[in-house]
Amino acid sequence: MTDRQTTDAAGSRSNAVLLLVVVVAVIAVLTSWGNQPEERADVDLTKLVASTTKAKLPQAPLDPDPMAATDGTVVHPRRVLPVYAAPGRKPFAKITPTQMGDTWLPVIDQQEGWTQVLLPSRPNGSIGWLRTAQLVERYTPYVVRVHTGSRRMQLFRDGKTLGEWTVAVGAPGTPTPTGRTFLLGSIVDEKQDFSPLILPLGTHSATLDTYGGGPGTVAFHGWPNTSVFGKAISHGCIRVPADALDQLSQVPLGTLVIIDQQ
Amino acid sequence: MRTTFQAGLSGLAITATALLVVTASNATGDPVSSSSAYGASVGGTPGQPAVASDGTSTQTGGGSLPAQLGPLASGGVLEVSAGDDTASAAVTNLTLGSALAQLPPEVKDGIANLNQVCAGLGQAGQVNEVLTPLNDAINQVPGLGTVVEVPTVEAAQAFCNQLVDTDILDLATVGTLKTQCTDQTGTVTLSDVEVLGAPQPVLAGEIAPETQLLPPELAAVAKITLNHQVPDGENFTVEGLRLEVGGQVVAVLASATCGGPQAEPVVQQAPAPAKPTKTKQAPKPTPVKTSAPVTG
Repeated sequence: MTDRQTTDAAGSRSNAVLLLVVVVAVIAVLTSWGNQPEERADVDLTKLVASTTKAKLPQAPLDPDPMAATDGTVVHPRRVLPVYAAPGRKPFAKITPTQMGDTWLPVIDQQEGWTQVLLPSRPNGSIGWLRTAQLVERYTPYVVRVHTGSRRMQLFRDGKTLGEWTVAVGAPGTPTPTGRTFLLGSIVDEKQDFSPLILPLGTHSATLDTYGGGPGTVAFHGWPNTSVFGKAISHGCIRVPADALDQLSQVPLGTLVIIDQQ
Repeated sequence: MRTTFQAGLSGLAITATALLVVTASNATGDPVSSSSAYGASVGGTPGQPAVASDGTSTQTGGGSLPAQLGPLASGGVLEVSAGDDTASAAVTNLTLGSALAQLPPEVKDGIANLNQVCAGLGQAGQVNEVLTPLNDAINQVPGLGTVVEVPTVEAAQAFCNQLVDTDILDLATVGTLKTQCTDQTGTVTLSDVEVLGAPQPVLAGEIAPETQLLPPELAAVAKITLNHQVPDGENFTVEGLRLEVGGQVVAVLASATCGGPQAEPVVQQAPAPAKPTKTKQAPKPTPVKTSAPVTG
């Protein structure tokens, strides 16, 4: 059907018009695949702030249930997506498929065609809605709980305790923020040589707007001196023993981390 | 955009026909074979609607095209059926290219200009007054100039007649795209094809296996294959329409899979969980070398 050399005039016309159809269709798919019509009409992604650990999103709604567990659903955006305060409203931010490696966000609610997630930006507890059709959906069996009062951290898998450790948490002047957040990244940072691996979270210090040139991102990481464990001594981060860091390194990004004052 | 789109697809498993195929025996003791079919799979997601049969009974299902197919196809009604070593998937009342209004401005402007040139064709006297502006207009539609040329006045008039007289928003309609497999054979048939409102009897009937809709020059960018056949041991799959972009399958319409005559004993097809994707665990993270100061 694609033989353009045919001498049959009717065939040639059919071919030409058919090619017009498929070329237009392919161009359409290449350029606008998966966009919803209303997005194309209304959303200019270039004008939206990317929701990263560095961003401040004052328009973001706040987590209505900051101590609740979820069913473990996590999502990864397939492309840059608008983030909405409510389904069908105007977007207030965008989310990118990668930031510290692949972006995975915990799901806190779903409606038909829409998925509500925790965001990694300030203010702490920022949430937003994404279009479900543009998300890869997976499941994490893990949950991490941090108790700042007792300086304990627990790692659960399928509801069963995998491990429990004494950790270091934020000092009284720079406390570890409470509420639910998530594992945002898994990084090796030569400029921060106190730990072989750093696991930044989606939450930030409430008392330090910036720290070390960064936006005050709270993280799990190791520490060279084991005497810190059991103390409230950090600038907000949760310093964990090597064994705990090793186990946390296996946990998928997007996994919920629930921090309380117990 | 193309890069973003392809990157967005990376890592997605290509889902063609992952349904389990097994055999069983019917009430009379004759061996039966399983089969399965689905209507549409987009971006590597499991095909929907899907049915599977262990061969002892015929399962049928139906639904509509996924919204994500928007720019490519819409409006279709899907019917799927799976029985003893035979399965079928059909899309009826399919409209291709219906989302032209959502195309990027340069494509839309190019087609609008093409329409305008065609509309003025009747007043043109000289050959060059017809062919030059029309070919220029064709070349203004990104991608079109490389595959379409209008060498004669007659061809120009024929091309324009079809273009002007119809609703440009419905580039092509397909009455039925039907895929069927029986044992190790498969067929794909098209009926009632209209392109720009003009019936295309030449496109109706049985489609030869591995029919390519796009010219080879575009193969590196995109391929649209009709009647794509995949023998896989005891299983045989035939896909009605398969769209690949950048070497990745982005959409499959009307897929049917038949099981072979010999296979393992019956394995009951597990009922689909409410959220099937949740059974797949999120990946273990791979540490990234970067600098992101934390609160220490």
